Amino acid sequence: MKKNILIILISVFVLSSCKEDPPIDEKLTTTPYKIEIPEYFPKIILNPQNPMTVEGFELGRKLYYDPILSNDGRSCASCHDQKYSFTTYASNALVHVNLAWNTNFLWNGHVSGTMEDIMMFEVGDFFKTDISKINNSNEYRQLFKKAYNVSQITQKDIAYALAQFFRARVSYNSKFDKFLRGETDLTPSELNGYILFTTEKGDCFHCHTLPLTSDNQFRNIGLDSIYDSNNSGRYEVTHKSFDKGKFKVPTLRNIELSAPYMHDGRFQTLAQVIEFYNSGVKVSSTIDPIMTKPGKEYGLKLTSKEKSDLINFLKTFTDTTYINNKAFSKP
Amino acid sequence: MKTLNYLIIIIISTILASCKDDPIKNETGDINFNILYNIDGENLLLDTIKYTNAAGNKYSVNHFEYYISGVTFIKNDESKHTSNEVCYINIKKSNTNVMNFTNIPIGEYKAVTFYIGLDSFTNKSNKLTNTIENVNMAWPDAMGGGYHFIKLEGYFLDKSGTKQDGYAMHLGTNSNLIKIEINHQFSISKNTLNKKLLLNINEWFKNPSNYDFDIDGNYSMGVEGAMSKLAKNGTDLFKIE
Repeated sequence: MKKNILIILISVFVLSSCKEDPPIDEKLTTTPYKIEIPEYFPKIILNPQNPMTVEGFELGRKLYYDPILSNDGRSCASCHDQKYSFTTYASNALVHVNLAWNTNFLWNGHVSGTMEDIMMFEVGDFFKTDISKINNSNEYRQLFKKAYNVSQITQKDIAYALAQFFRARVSYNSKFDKFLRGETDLTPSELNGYILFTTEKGDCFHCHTLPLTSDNQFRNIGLDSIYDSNNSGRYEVTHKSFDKGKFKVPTLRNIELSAPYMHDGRFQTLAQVIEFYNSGVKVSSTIDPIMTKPGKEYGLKLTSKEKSDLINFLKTFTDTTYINNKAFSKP
Repeated sequence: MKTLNYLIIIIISTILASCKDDPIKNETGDINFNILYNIDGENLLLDTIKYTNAAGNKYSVNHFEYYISGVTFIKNDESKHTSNEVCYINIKKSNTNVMNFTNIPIGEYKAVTFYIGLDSFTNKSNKLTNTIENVNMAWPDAMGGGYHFIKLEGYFLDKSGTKQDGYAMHLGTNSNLIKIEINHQFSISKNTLNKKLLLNINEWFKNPSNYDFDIDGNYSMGVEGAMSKLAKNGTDLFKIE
Protein backbone atom coordinates (compact mmCIF):
# COMPACT_ATOMS: atom_id res chain seq x y z
CA MET A 1 0.00 0.00 0.00
CA LYS A 2 2.76 2.43 0.99
CA LYS A 3 4.57 1.49 -2.21
CA ASN A 4 1.50 2.46 -4.25
CA ILE A 5 1.23 5.83 -2.55
CA LEU A 6 4.88 6.43 -3.25
CA ILE A 7 4.38 5.63 -6.96
CA ILE A 8 1.42 8.01 -7.14
CA LEU A 9 3.39 10.78 -5.46
CA ILE A 10 6.34 10.28 -7.79
CA SER A 11 4.02 10.28 -10.82
CA VAL A 12 2.36 13.49 -9.71
CA PHE A 13 5.77 15.07 -9.19
CA VAL A 14 7.01 13.91 -12.60
CA LEU A 15 3.86 15.11 -14.35
CA SER A 16 3.92 18.47 -12.67
CA SER A 17 7.58 18.92 -13.48
CA CYS A 18 6.81 18.23 -17.16
CA LYS A 19 4.35 21.09 -17.22
CA GLU A 20 5.41 23.86 -19.60
CA ASP A 21 7.12 26.81 -18.06
CA PRO A 22 5.06 29.97 -18.20
CA PRO A 23 6.10 32.38 -20.95
CA ILE A 24 9.02 34.55 -20.03
CA ASP A 25 7.12 37.79 -19.82
CA GLU A 26 7.74 38.76 -16.25
CA LYS A 27 9.47 41.88 -17.50
CA LEU A 28 6.64 42.75 -19.92
CA THR A 29 4.39 45.02 -17.94
CA THR A 30 2.27 46.75 -20.54
CA THR A 31 -0.83 48.87 -20.07
CA PRO A 32 -3.96 47.91 -22.02
CA TYR A 33 -5.07 50.51 -24.59
CA LYS A 34 -8.81 50.89 -25.01
CA ILE A 35 -10.13 52.11 -28.35
CA GLU A 36 -13.24 54.22 -27.81
CA ILE A 37 -15.99 53.64 -30.37
CA PRO A 38 -19.66 54.58 -30.34
CA GLU A 39 -22.25 51.83 -29.99
CA TYR A 40 -23.61 52.35 -33.52
CA PHE A 41 -20.24 51.39 -35.03
CA PRO A 42 -19.69 47.74 -35.94
CA LYS A 43 -17.61 45.65 -33.60
CA ILE A 44 -13.98 46.58 -34.14
CA ILE A 45 -11.60 43.98 -35.62
CA LEU A 46 -8.83 43.33 -33.10
CA ASN A 47 -5.97 40.87 -33.38
CA PRO A 48 -5.47 38.65 -30.32
CA GLN A 49 -1.90 38.09 -31.50
CA ASN A 50 -1.26 41.82 -31.12
CA PRO A 51 -3.27 43.09 -28.16
CA MET A 52 -3.58 46.86 -27.93
CA THR A 53 -1.25 48.39 -25.36
CA VAL A 54 -0.26 51.96 -24.59
CA GLU A 55 3.35 50.99 -25.21
CA GLY A 56 2.56 49.40 -28.60
CA PHE A 57 0.40 52.32 -29.69
CA GLU A 58 3.00 54.92 -28.72
CA LEU A 59 5.76 52.96 -30.42
CA GLY A 60 3.68 52.70 -33.59
CA ARG A 61 2.98 56.43 -33.42
CA LYS A 62 6.70 57.22 -33.13
CA LEU A 63 7.52 54.96 -36.07
CA TYR A 64 4.76 56.53 -38.19
CA TYR A 65 6.44 59.92 -37.99
CA ASP A 66 10.03 58.66 -38.22
CA PRO A 67 11.87 58.61 -41.58
CA ILE A 68 13.94 55.77 -40.18
CA LEU A 69 11.37 53.48 -41.80
CA SER A 70 12.45 54.46 -45.30
CA ASN A 71 15.72 54.78 -47.12
CA ASP A 72 14.90 58.09 -48.77
CA GLY A 73 13.98 60.40 -45.90
CA ARG A 74 10.23 59.77 -46.04
CA SER A 75 8.04 58.68 -43.17
CA CYS A 76 4.42 57.53 -43.28
CA ALA A 77 3.44 61.06 -42.35
CA SER A 78 5.12 62.45 -45.46
CA CYS A 79 2.13 61.34 -47.50
CA HIS A 80 -0.33 61.10 -44.61
CA ASP A 81 -0.70 64.49 -42.93
CA GLN A 82 -3.09 64.60 -39.98
CA LYS A 83 -4.65 67.92 -40.96
CA TYR A 84 -5.94 66.33 -44.18
CA SER A 85 -7.21 63.23 -42.37
CA PHE A 86 -3.82 61.61 -42.92
CA THR A 87 -3.41 62.11 -46.65
CA THR A 88 -1.90 64.89 -48.77
CA TYR A 89 -3.05 66.51 -51.98
CA ALA A 90 0.20 65.65 -53.74
CA SER A 91 0.17 61.98 -52.80
CA ASN A 92 -3.59 61.36 -53.22
CA ALA A 93 -2.95 58.50 -50.80
CA LEU A 94 -5.95 56.87 -49.16
CA VAL A 95 -6.79 58.52 -45.85
CA HIS A 96 -5.90 56.81 -42.61
CA VAL A 97 -9.16 56.84 -40.73
CA ASN A 98 -11.24 54.00 -39.28
CA LEU A 99 -9.00 51.45 -40.96
CA ALA A 100 -9.56 49.05 -38.08
CA TRP A 101 -12.64 47.69 -39.87
CA ASN A 102 -10.86 47.10 -43.18
CA THR A 103 -9.81 43.76 -44.56
CA ASN A 104 -8.88 45.00 -48.05
CA PHE A 105 -6.12 47.57 -48.34
CA LEU A 106 -4.82 49.92 -51.06
CA TRP A 107 -6.86 51.06 -54.05
CA ASN A 108 -6.71 47.70 -55.82
CA GLY A 109 -6.72 45.53 -52.71
CA HIS A 110 -3.15 44.46 -53.29
CA VAL A 111 -3.07 43.36 -49.66
CA SER A 112 -5.97 41.63 -47.91
CA GLY A 113 -6.14 40.37 -44.36
CA THR A 114 -5.35 41.99 -41.05
CA MET A 115 -3.85 45.34 -40.18
CA GLU A 116 -0.69 43.45 -39.33
CA ASP A 117 -0.63 42.02 -42.88
CA ILE A 118 -0.79 45.43 -44.55
CA MET A 119 1.87 46.76 -42.17
CA MET A 120 4.16 43.83 -43.03
CA PHE A 121 3.75 44.93 -46.66
CA GLU A 122 4.45 48.59 -45.86
CA VAL A 123 7.60 47.80 -43.87
CA GLY A 124 8.94 45.04 -46.10
CA ASP A 125 7.78 45.92 -49.61
CA PHE A 126 6.90 49.61 -49.65
CA PHE A 127 9.56 51.15 -47.43
CA LYS A 128 11.99 48.23 -47.60
CA THR A 129 12.93 49.25 -44.09
CA ASP A 130 16.53 48.65 -43.07
CA ILE A 131 15.79 46.78 -39.84
CA SER A 132 19.41 47.12 -38.69
CA LYS A 133 18.99 50.90 -38.40
CA ILE A 134 16.21 50.36 -35.88
CA ASN A 135 18.15 47.67 -34.05
CA ASN A 136 21.09 50.05 -33.81
CA SER A 137 18.95 52.65 -32.03
CA ASN A 138 19.17 52.44 -28.25
CA GLU A 139 15.87 54.26 -27.93
CA TYR A 140 14.00 51.87 -30.23
CA ARG A 141 15.60 48.83 -28.58
CA GLN A 142 14.26 50.04 -25.24
CA LEU A 143 10.83 50.87 -26.63
CA PHE A 144 10.45 47.50 -28.36
CA LYS A 145 11.63 45.78 -25.20
CA LYS A 146 8.92 47.59 -23.26
CA ALA A 147 6.17 46.99 -25.80
CA TYR A 148 6.98 43.49 -27.05
CA ASN A 149 9.73 42.21 -24.77
CA VAL A 150 12.08 41.60 -27.70
CA SER A 151 15.80 42.21 -27.81
CA GLN A 152 16.24 41.69 -31.54
CA ILE A 153 13.71 43.80 -33.46
CA THR A 154 12.20 42.17 -36.54
CA GLN A 155 10.03 43.31 -39.45
CA LYS A 156 7.11 41.71 -37.66
CA ASP A 157 7.69 43.71 -34.48
CA ILE A 158 7.75 46.97 -36.44
CA ALA A 159 4.63 46.02 -38.39
CA TYR A 160 2.79 45.07 -35.21
CA ALA A 161 3.59 48.36 -33.51
CA LEU A 162 2.48 50.32 -36.57
CA ALA A 163 -0.70 48.23 -36.74
CA GLN A 164 -1.60 49.36 -33.25
CA PHE A 165 -1.31 53.03 -34.20
CA PHE A 166 -3.37 52.47 -37.36
CA ARG A 167 -6.05 50.48 -35.56
CA ALA A 168 -6.48 53.10 -32.84
CA ARG A 169 -7.21 56.03 -35.15
CA VAL A 170 -10.98 56.15 -35.08
CA SER A 171 -13.07 59.12 -36.20
CA TYR A 172 -16.49 59.33 -34.55
CA ASN A 173 -17.02 62.99 -33.69
CA SER A 174 -18.15 64.47 -36.97
CA LYS A 175 -21.37 66.46 -37.20
CA PHE A 176 -22.99 63.36 -38.69
CA ASP A 177 -21.96 61.31 -35.63
CA LYS A 178 -23.36 63.97 -33.33
CA PHE A 179 -26.58 63.88 -35.37
CA LEU A 180 -26.75 60.08 -34.97
CA ARG A 181 -26.22 60.46 -31.24
CA GLY A 182 -28.96 63.09 -31.02
CA GLU A 183 -26.51 65.80 -29.99
CA THR A 184 -27.22 68.11 -32.92
CA ASP A 185 -29.57 68.63 -35.83
CA LEU A 186 -28.66 68.75 -39.50
CA THR A 187 -29.58 71.86 -41.48
CA PRO A 188 -32.46 71.41 -43.95
CA SER A 189 -29.93 71.24 -46.78
CA GLU A 190 -27.77 68.64 -44.99
CA LEU A 191 -30.86 66.63 -44.11
CA ASN A 192 -32.01 66.62 -47.71
CA GLY A 193 -28.50 65.51 -48.71
CA TYR A 194 -28.74 62.71 -46.15
CA ILE A 195 -32.02 61.56 -47.70
CA LEU A 196 -30.50 61.69 -51.18
CA PHE A 197 -27.51 59.71 -49.90
CA THR A 198 -29.67 56.97 -48.38
CA THR A 199 -32.36 56.58 -51.04
CA GLU A 200 -32.44 55.41 -54.63
CA LYS A 201 -32.26 58.99 -55.87
CA GLY A 202 -28.59 59.36 -54.96
CA ASP A 203 -27.95 55.73 -54.02
CA CYS A 204 -24.64 56.40 -52.29
CA PHE A 205 -25.48 54.10 -49.36
CA HIS A 206 -25.00 50.77 -51.12
CA CYS A 207 -21.23 51.23 -51.39
CA HIS A 208 -20.66 53.94 -48.79
CA THR A 209 -22.52 52.01 -46.10
CA LEU A 210 -23.16 53.96 -42.94
CA PRO A 211 -21.76 54.65 -40.46
CA LEU A 212 -18.28 53.71 -41.70
CA THR A 213 -19.06 54.95 -45.24
CA SER A 214 -17.35 52.07 -47.03
CA ASP A 215 -18.42 48.48 -47.58
CA ASN A 216 -14.77 47.49 -48.03
CA GLN A 217 -15.54 46.06 -51.48
CA PHE A 218 -14.34 46.82 -55.01
CA ARG A 219 -16.59 48.58 -57.51
CA ASN A 220 -16.42 49.96 -61.02
CA ILE A 221 -18.29 53.26 -60.86
CA GLY A 222 -17.78 54.15 -64.51
CA LEU A 223 -14.83 56.51 -64.43
CA ASP A 224 -13.52 54.94 -67.65
CA SER A 225 -14.70 52.41 -70.19
CA ILE A 226 -11.35 51.41 -71.69
CA TYR A 227 -8.80 49.86 -69.36
CA ASP A 228 -5.03 49.60 -69.25
CA SER A 229 -2.52 49.02 -66.48
CA ASN A 230 -3.24 52.46 -65.01
CA ASN A 231 -6.95 52.07 -64.48
CA SER A 232 -7.65 48.34 -64.33
CA GLY A 233 -7.70 48.42 -60.54
CA ARG A 234 -8.65 45.16 -58.90
CA TYR A 235 -7.95 43.28 -62.16
CA GLU A 236 -4.23 43.90 -61.62
CA VAL A 237 -4.47 41.71 -58.52
CA THR A 238 -6.97 39.01 -59.50
CA HIS A 239 -6.61 38.96 -63.32
CA LYS A 240 -10.33 38.20 -63.48
CA SER A 241 -12.08 40.01 -66.31
CA PHE A 242 -14.98 40.89 -64.00
CA ASP A 243 -12.61 43.03 -61.92
CA LYS A 244 -11.55 45.45 -64.66
CA GLY A 245 -11.97 49.03 -63.55
CA LYS A 246 -12.89 48.13 -59.99
CA PHE A 247 -11.34 50.02 -57.09
CA LYS A 248 -11.77 49.89 -53.36
CA VAL A 249 -14.73 51.90 -52.09
CA PRO A 250 -13.02 54.68 -50.12
CA THR A 251 -14.31 56.02 -46.84
CA LEU A 252 -16.10 59.36 -47.01
CA ARG A 253 -15.04 60.30 -43.50
CA ASN A 254 -13.31 63.70 -43.73
CA ILE A 255 -13.93 63.71 -47.48
CA GLU A 256 -14.03 67.52 -47.40
CA LEU A 257 -10.37 67.53 -46.32
CA SER A 258 -8.97 64.84 -48.54
CA ALA A 259 -8.98 66.16 -52.11
CA PRO A 260 -8.20 65.22 -54.81
CA TYR A 261 -10.69 62.42 -55.42
CA MET A 262 -10.76 58.99 -57.07
CA HIS A 263 -7.82 56.58 -57.39
CA ASP A 264 -6.01 58.88 -59.80
CA GLY A 265 -7.02 62.17 -58.22
CA ARG A 266 -8.82 63.29 -61.37
CA PHE A 267 -11.34 65.44 -59.49
CA GLN A 268 -10.24 68.37 -57.40
CA THR A 269 -13.56 69.31 -55.82
CA LEU A 270 -16.61 67.58 -54.38
CA ALA A 271 -18.70 69.46 -56.94
CA GLN A 272 -16.75 67.74 -59.72
CA VAL A 273 -17.29 64.37 -58.05
CA ILE A 274 -21.04 64.88 -57.77
CA GLU A 275 -21.23 66.11 -61.36
CA PHE A 276 -19.45 62.94 -62.46
CA TYR A 277 -22.15 60.82 -60.80
CA ASN A 278 -24.77 63.14 -62.19
CA SER A 279 -23.75 63.12 -65.82
CA GLY A 280 -20.29 61.71 -66.43
CA VAL A 281 -20.55 57.96 -65.87
CA LYS A 282 -19.06 55.83 -68.65
CA VAL A 283 -20.63 52.44 -69.23
CA SER A 284 -18.55 49.31 -69.68
CA SER A 285 -19.08 45.59 -69.18
CA THR A 286 -17.93 45.59 -65.55
CA ILE A 287 -19.70 48.69 -64.34
CA ASP A 288 -21.60 48.26 -61.11
CA PRO A 289 -25.31 47.65 -61.78
CA ILE A 290 -26.17 50.41 -59.34
CA MET A 291 -24.74 52.86 -61.85
CA THR A 292 -26.96 51.72 -64.71
CA LYS A 293 -30.20 50.82 -63.00
CA PRO A 294 -33.41 51.64 -64.85
CA GLY A 295 -33.99 55.37 -64.97
CA LYS A 296 -30.38 56.16 -64.02
CA GLU A 297 -28.65 54.98 -67.19
CA TYR A 298 -27.58 58.53 -67.92
CA GLY A 299 -26.69 59.65 -64.40
CA LEU A 300 -28.50 60.73 -61.27
CA LYS A 301 -30.29 63.67 -62.84
CA LEU A 302 -30.00 65.81 -59.71
CA THR A 303 -31.02 69.45 -59.64
CA SER A 304 -28.50 72.13 -58.70
CA LYS A 305 -30.04 72.35 -55.26
CA GLU A 306 -29.88 68.57 -54.79
CA LYS A 307 -26.22 68.55 -55.79
CA SER A 308 -25.53 71.31 -53.31
CA ASP A 309 -27.48 69.47 -50.58
CA LEU A 310 -25.50 66.30 -51.18
CA ILE A 311 -22.21 68.18 -50.88
CA ASN A 312 -23.39 69.84 -47.68
CA PHE A 313 -24.23 66.44 -46.27
CA LEU A 314 -20.82 65.04 -47.26
CA LYS A 315 -19.22 67.85 -45.30
CA THR A 316 -20.95 66.61 -42.15
CA PHE A 317 -18.40 63.76 -42.18
CA THR A 318 -15.66 66.26 -41.30
CA ASP A 319 -14.26 65.49 -37.86
CA THR A 320 -12.08 68.32 -36.56
CA THR A 321 -11.62 66.47 -33.27
CA TYR A 322 -9.86 63.73 -35.22
CA ILE A 323 -7.53 65.93 -37.20
CA ASN A 324 -6.60 67.91 -34.08
CA ASN A 325 -6.28 64.95 -31.73
CA LYS A 326 -2.83 65.36 -30.18
CA ALA A 327 -2.73 61.67 -29.31
CA PHE A 328 -2.35 61.00 -33.04
CA SER A 329 0.11 63.83 -33.73
CA LYS A 330 3.87 63.68 -34.09
CA PRO A 331 5.26 62.78 -30.66
CA MET B 1 -23.20 10.42 15.34
CA LYS B 2 -24.86 13.58 14.12
CA THR B 3 -21.77 14.43 12.14
CA LEU B 4 -21.78 10.99 10.54
CA ASN B 5 -25.44 11.37 9.58
CA TYR B 6 -24.76 14.73 7.99
CA LEU B 7 -21.83 13.26 6.13
CA ILE B 8 -23.97 10.41 4.80
CA ILE B 9 -26.70 12.82 3.69
CA ILE B 10 -24.17 15.03 1.91
CA ILE B 11 -22.55 12.05 0.15
CA ILE B 12 -25.92 10.63 -0.97
CA SER B 13 -27.08 14.04 -2.15
CA THR B 14 -23.87 14.51 -4.12
CA ILE B 15 -24.22 11.08 -5.74
CA LEU B 16 -27.86 11.72 -6.60
CA ALA B 17 -27.11 15.15 -8.01
CA SER B 18 -24.29 13.86 -10.15
CA CYS B 19 -26.46 11.00 -11.46
CA LYS B 20 -29.39 13.21 -12.27
CA ASP B 21 -30.24 13.19 -15.96
CA ASP B 22 -29.65 16.39 -17.83
CA PRO B 23 -33.05 16.72 -19.47
CA ILE B 24 -31.79 18.92 -22.29
CA LYS B 25 -28.91 16.67 -23.24
CA ASN B 26 -30.88 13.44 -23.12
CA GLU B 27 -34.01 14.59 -24.90
CA THR B 28 -32.62 16.79 -27.61
CA GLY B 29 -30.33 16.53 -30.58
CA ASP B 30 -28.58 18.71 -33.13
CA ILE B 31 -28.87 19.21 -36.87
CA ASN B 32 -26.42 20.78 -39.30
CA PHE B 33 -27.45 22.17 -42.65
CA ASN B 34 -24.74 22.51 -45.26
CA ILE B 35 -25.98 24.94 -47.92
CA LEU B 36 -24.98 23.99 -51.48
CA TYR B 37 -25.80 25.96 -54.61
CA ASN B 38 -26.88 24.75 -58.01
CA ILE B 39 -28.46 25.94 -61.24
CA ASP B 40 -31.23 23.49 -62.13
CA GLY B 41 -29.18 20.64 -60.68
CA GLU B 42 -25.77 21.70 -61.98
CA ASN B 43 -23.28 22.72 -59.28
CA LEU B 44 -22.86 26.49 -59.32
CA LEU B 45 -19.56 27.89 -60.54
CA LEU B 46 -19.21 31.47 -59.32
CA ASP B 47 -18.07 34.43 -61.44
CA THR B 48 -18.81 32.79 -64.81
CA ILE B 49 -21.48 33.82 -67.32
CA LYS B 50 -22.64 30.35 -68.26
CA TYR B 51 -26.13 29.93 -66.84
CA THR B 52 -29.43 30.68 -68.52
CA ASN B 53 -32.58 31.61 -66.66
CA ALA B 54 -36.13 30.83 -67.77
CA ALA B 55 -36.42 34.17 -69.54
CA GLY B 56 -33.33 33.39 -71.61
CA ASN B 57 -30.86 35.72 -69.87
CA LYS B 58 -27.36 34.26 -69.81
CA TYR B 59 -25.91 35.23 -66.45
CA SER B 60 -23.33 34.75 -63.72
CA VAL B 61 -23.50 34.80 -59.93
CA ASN B 62 -20.76 36.95 -58.43
CA HIS B 63 -22.20 37.91 -55.09
CA PHE B 64 -24.95 36.47 -52.91
CA GLU B 65 -25.58 37.26 -49.28
CA TYR B 66 -28.81 36.81 -47.36
CA TYR B 67 -30.47 36.02 -44.05
CA ILE B 68 -32.23 32.85 -42.95
CA SER B 69 -34.30 33.15 -39.78
CA GLY B 70 -37.26 31.65 -37.94
CA VAL B 71 -36.16 28.08 -38.65
CA THR B 72 -38.94 25.80 -37.41
CA PHE B 73 -38.85 22.01 -37.17
CA ILE B 74 -42.28 20.36 -37.39
CA LYS B 75 -42.81 16.92 -35.88
CA ASN B 76 -45.11 14.26 -37.26
CA ASP B 77 -47.49 15.06 -34.39
CA GLU B 78 -47.57 18.73 -35.55
CA SER B 79 -45.62 20.00 -32.51
CA LYS B 80 -43.04 22.62 -33.43
CA HIS B 81 -39.60 23.77 -32.33
CA THR B 82 -38.48 27.22 -33.53
CA SER B 83 -34.93 28.52 -33.36
CA ASN B 84 -34.24 32.14 -32.46
CA GLU B 85 -31.09 32.15 -34.59
CA VAL B 86 -30.65 34.70 -37.36
CA CYS B 87 -28.19 33.28 -39.88
CA TYR B 88 -26.20 35.63 -42.11
CA ILE B 89 -25.04 33.73 -45.18
CA ASN B 90 -22.52 34.80 -47.79
CA ILE B 91 -21.95 32.45 -50.71
CA LYS B 92 -18.24 33.33 -50.76
CA LYS B 93 -17.67 32.79 -47.02
CA SER B 94 -17.81 29.04 -46.54
CA ASN B 95 -18.17 29.16 -42.76
CA THR B 96 -21.47 31.04 -43.11
CA ASN B 97 -22.91 28.30 -45.30
CA VAL B 98 -23.17 25.81 -42.45
CA MET B 99 -26.11 26.33 -40.10
CA ASN B 100 -26.07 24.45 -36.81
CA PHE B 101 -29.20 24.08 -34.69
CA THR B 102 -28.95 22.56 -31.23
CA ASN B 103 -31.30 21.36 -28.50
CA ILE B 104 -34.01 20.17 -30.87
CA PRO B 105 -36.40 17.71 -29.17
CA ILE B 106 -35.71 14.14 -30.20
CA GLY B 107 -38.34 12.60 -32.45
CA GLU B 108 -39.68 12.10 -35.94
CA TYR B 109 -40.05 15.22 -38.08
CA LYS B 110 -41.90 15.79 -41.31
CA ALA B 111 -41.04 19.36 -42.31
CA VAL B 112 -38.81 22.40 -41.89
CA THR B 113 -39.94 25.98 -42.46
CA PHE B 114 -37.95 29.20 -42.35
CA TYR B 115 -37.79 32.72 -43.69
CA ILE B 116 -35.43 34.20 -46.23
CA GLY B 117 -35.10 37.55 -44.54
CA LEU B 118 -36.18 38.77 -41.14
CA ASP B 119 -39.61 38.81 -39.55
CA SER B 120 -41.21 42.19 -38.83
CA PHE B 121 -40.10 42.09 -35.19
CA THR B 122 -36.43 41.76 -36.19
CA ASN B 123 -36.51 43.76 -39.42
CA LYS B 124 -35.89 47.09 -37.75
CA SER B 125 -32.86 49.34 -38.06
CA ASN B 126 -30.05 48.45 -35.66
CA LYS B 127 -32.00 45.47 -34.28
CA LEU B 128 -29.26 42.99 -35.18
CA THR B 129 -25.84 43.03 -33.56
CA ASN B 130 -23.66 45.68 -35.19
CA THR B 131 -21.33 43.41 -37.15
CA ILE B 132 -19.75 44.64 -40.37
CA GLU B 133 -21.95 42.20 -42.28
CA ASN B 134 -25.17 43.40 -40.66
CA VAL B 135 -24.22 47.04 -41.11
CA ASN B 136 -23.57 46.43 -44.80
CA MET B 137 -26.99 44.76 -45.13
CA ALA B 138 -28.83 47.75 -43.64
CA TRP B 139 -31.91 49.02 -45.49
CA PRO B 140 -31.91 52.81 -45.07
CA ASP B 141 -34.45 54.40 -42.74
CA ALA B 142 -35.48 56.74 -45.54
CA MET B 143 -36.64 53.64 -47.45
CA GLY B 144 -38.40 52.01 -44.52
CA GLY B 145 -35.47 50.80 -42.39
CA GLY B 146 -34.48 47.28 -41.42
CA TYR B 147 -32.17 45.12 -43.52
CA HIS B 148 -31.70 43.74 -47.00
CA PHE B 149 -33.08 40.20 -47.01
CA ILE B 150 -30.94 39.28 -50.00
CA LYS B 151 -28.29 40.80 -52.21
CA LEU B 152 -27.84 38.67 -55.34
CA GLU B 153 -25.52 40.24 -57.90
CA GLY B 154 -23.72 39.31 -61.09
CA TYR B 155 -23.55 39.97 -64.81
CA PHE B 156 -25.72 39.04 -67.76
CA LEU B 157 -25.68 39.25 -71.54
CA ASP B 158 -28.45 40.88 -73.47
CA LYS B 159 -30.54 38.65 -75.75
CA SER B 160 -28.20 39.26 -78.70
CA GLY B 161 -25.35 37.96 -76.55
CA THR B 162 -23.13 40.93 -77.25
CA LYS B 163 -23.69 43.47 -74.49
CA GLN B 164 -22.74 42.62 -70.90
CA ASP B 165 -24.38 44.42 -68.01
CA GLY B 166 -24.59 43.92 -64.27
CA TYR B 167 -27.62 42.97 -62.23
CA ALA B 168 -28.39 43.55 -58.54
CA MET B 169 -31.37 41.72 -57.11
CA HIS B 170 -31.93 43.27 -53.71
CA LEU B 171 -34.91 42.36 -51.59
CA GLY B 172 -36.23 43.86 -48.39
CA THR B 173 -39.24 45.32 -46.51
CA ASN B 174 -41.68 43.22 -44.52
CA SER B 175 -44.10 42.59 -47.37
CA ASN B 176 -41.37 40.72 -49.27
CA LEU B 177 -40.43 38.28 -46.54
CA ILE B 178 -40.17 34.82 -48.08
CA LYS B 179 -41.49 31.79 -46.23
CA ILE B 180 -39.90 28.50 -47.20
CA GLU B 181 -41.72 25.25 -46.43
CA ILE B 182 -39.93 21.99 -47.10
CA ASN B 183 -41.60 18.65 -46.52
CA HIS B 184 -38.90 16.19 -45.56
CA GLN B 185 -38.99 13.20 -43.23
CA PHE B 186 -36.12 12.98 -40.76
CA SER B 187 -35.30 11.87 -37.23
CA ILE B 188 -33.62 13.90 -34.52
CA SER B 189 -31.69 11.71 -32.14
CA LYS B 190 -28.81 12.15 -29.74
CA ASN B 191 -26.45 11.98 -32.69
CA THR B 192 -25.97 15.12 -34.77
CA LEU B 193 -27.85 14.90 -38.05
CA ASN B 194 -26.14 16.36 -41.12
CA LYS B 195 -28.31 17.48 -44.00
CA LYS B 196 -27.69 19.23 -47.31
CA LEU B 197 -29.79 22.29 -48.05
CA LEU B 198 -29.75 22.66 -51.81
CA LEU B 199 -30.46 26.12 -53.28
CA ASN B 200 -31.28 26.41 -56.97
CA ILE B 201 -30.41 29.98 -58.00
CA ASN B 202 -32.53 29.72 -61.15
CA GLU B 203 -35.65 29.47 -59.01
CA TRP B 204 -35.29 33.19 -58.31
CA PHE B 205 -36.13 33.82 -61.92
CA LYS B 206 -39.10 31.47 -62.51
CA ASN B 207 -42.16 29.88 -60.98
CA PRO B 208 -44.63 31.42 -60.82
CA SER B 209 -43.31 34.29 -62.99
CA ASN B 210 -40.26 34.56 -65.18
CA TYR B 211 -37.91 37.39 -64.23
CA ASP B 212 -36.29 38.90 -67.31
CA PHE B 213 -33.39 41.31 -66.70
CA ASP B 214 -34.17 43.03 -70.00
CA ILE B 215 -37.83 43.59 -69.13
CA ASP B 216 -38.10 43.57 -65.33
CA GLY B 217 -34.88 45.48 -64.85
CA ASN B 218 -31.35 44.72 -63.71
CA TYR B 219 -31.99 46.33 -60.34
CA SER B 220 -34.79 45.59 -57.90
CA MET B 221 -34.36 47.66 -54.74
CA GLY B 222 -37.20 50.10 -54.32
CA VAL B 223 -38.96 48.67 -57.40
CA GLU B 224 -41.94 47.03 -55.73
CA GLY B 225 -43.03 45.03 -58.79
CA ALA B 226 -39.56 43.53 -59.25
CA MET B 227 -39.13 42.76 -55.54
CA SER B 228 -42.58 41.18 -55.32
CA LYS B 229 -41.85 38.94 -58.29
CA LEU B 230 -38.56 37.79 -56.78
CA ALA B 231 -40.19 37.18 -53.38
CA LYS B 232 -42.89 35.00 -54.91
CA ASN B 233 -40.37 33.08 -57.02
CA GLY B 234 -38.16 32.55 -53.97
CA THR B 235 -40.51 30.19 -52.16
CA ASP B 236 -39.26 27.17 -54.18
CA LEU B 237 -35.54 27.80 -53.88
CA PHE B 238 -34.62 25.04 -51.46
CA LYS B 239 -34.61 21.28 -51.19
CA ILE B 240 -33.27 19.10 -48.37
CA GLU B 241 -31.17 16.04 -49.10
